[in-house]
Amino acid sequence: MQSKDQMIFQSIKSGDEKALEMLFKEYYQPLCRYANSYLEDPDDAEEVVQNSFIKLWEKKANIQIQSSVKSYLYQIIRNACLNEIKHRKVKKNYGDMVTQQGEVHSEASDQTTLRGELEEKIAIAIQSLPQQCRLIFTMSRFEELKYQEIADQLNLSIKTVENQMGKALKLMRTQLQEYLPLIALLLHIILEK
Amino acid sequence: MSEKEEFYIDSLIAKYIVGEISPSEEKELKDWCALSPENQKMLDDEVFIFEKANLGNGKNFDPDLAWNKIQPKIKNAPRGKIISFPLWKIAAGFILICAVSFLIYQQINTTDEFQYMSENQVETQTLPDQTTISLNRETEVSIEYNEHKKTGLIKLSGESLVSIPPDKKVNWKVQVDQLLIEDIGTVFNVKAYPESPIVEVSVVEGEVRMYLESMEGIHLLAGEKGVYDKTSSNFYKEEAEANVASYSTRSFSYFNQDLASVVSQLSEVYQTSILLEGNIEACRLTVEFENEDLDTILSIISETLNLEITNNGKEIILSGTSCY
Repeated sequence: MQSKDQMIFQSIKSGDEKALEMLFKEYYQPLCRYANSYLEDPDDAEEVVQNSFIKLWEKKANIQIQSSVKSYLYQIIRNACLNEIKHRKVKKNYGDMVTQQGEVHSEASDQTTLRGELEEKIAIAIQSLPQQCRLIFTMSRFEELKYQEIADQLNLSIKTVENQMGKALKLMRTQLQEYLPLIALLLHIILEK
Repeated sequence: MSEKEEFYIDSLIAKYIVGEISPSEEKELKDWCALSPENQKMLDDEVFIFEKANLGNGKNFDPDLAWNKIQPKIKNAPRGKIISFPLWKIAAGFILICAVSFLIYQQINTTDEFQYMSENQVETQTLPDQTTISLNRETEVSIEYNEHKKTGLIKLSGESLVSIPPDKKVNWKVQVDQLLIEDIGTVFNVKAYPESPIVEVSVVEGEVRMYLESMEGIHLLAGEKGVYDKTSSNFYKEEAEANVASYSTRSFSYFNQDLASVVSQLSEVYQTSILLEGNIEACRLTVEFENEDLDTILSIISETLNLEITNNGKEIILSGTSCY
């Protein structure tokens, strides 16, 4: 999978537009969701992802990827989102930015299956994390960064990253407590299958 | 379990999940899990949560729609594109470059040619760079003029006055057989009739150089005349005659000049026979004429020297008895 992405990225670097399209279509949805988890505005999220891909194409000659392509994409989206948030802070008042936690994605959807519902709950749980916790968790989980890399990028000690990750998982577990029998049941079902 | 312990375990679980746990820590965690099913469940739950972690699927983002939106911008950003042409394109490109080069070369080398001939009249021509060339009678010039290279060559047989404008744009040369006269911002006259053994170059304004390809030659300044002896291939300088360009300018300046010379020059320039009667040939004259007609000039001379003018239709006769 990773090597496939690497090949696609090499094609992009040599100017293959089709390769860019492939990468774009594969990652657009998850990247938009990632951006949305920061920006809490689907339109802004889409704009950020689209612009990031345009920039990526423009700068393709100079891009070096050490980690995986997926991890790289999540990182550039996060950076773009954080920039966007900075801009918003200039425009808006700081206050209404930071907290809308808990009420996000609260609209229940009818078609959610048992499993879909669970994933939805987990997504909400992530959104409900305190800001730094959430940032570190998503960097680890979606950008697949090592603790050391997260610490370097956020200018934190590795100890803080360790603690915050532990805290993040614990908070989520606590929040999902009432669904945990469900999880056990689900695991049971999966195991039975 | 104390809060501190709990905190420690939480971070161990997290390390375990993301794969950054050390072997000793892992053993510690396993031991802790073994203590109670609750502990083990805590680990399992968090593993499950991490694995299922997602950013919500409440909202769908349409990749196709988005791609259509950004595609034009992708096309317009060719920076850093690696250019790889198939061989035939290289060949076609090469031919195109050759063709364009050839056309440019041709354009640069396009030399305009002009030919002028004067028979019995003095003719003045203006060239494209506003240089004027006056041809005295019986003169033939052929001009090669290259606007791009900014060069001009006047091949001369006869006599010509060349006036190059002050904002000199073109390097002009006059060629008489082997002799070359290079102007350096100037008005100069070249007298080079084929039957004459010499070529005379008189500088009215500025500076010229007359030389052969094989011989350095001489520099001439305003008021100087350079003479080239065709038979000996020698150069020498003389003082320029004041009225060297009179055939073109009709300006005459005489200082203590004998009447015979004056009349001879006037009859040449105005192409009229003028005869002298009486003992007046040696009479001296100091006078200037600036583009006057012949009648005016002759009446001034007669007034000055107390002569009588007779015009019989074929020739003009100046008669008197002696000089005053």
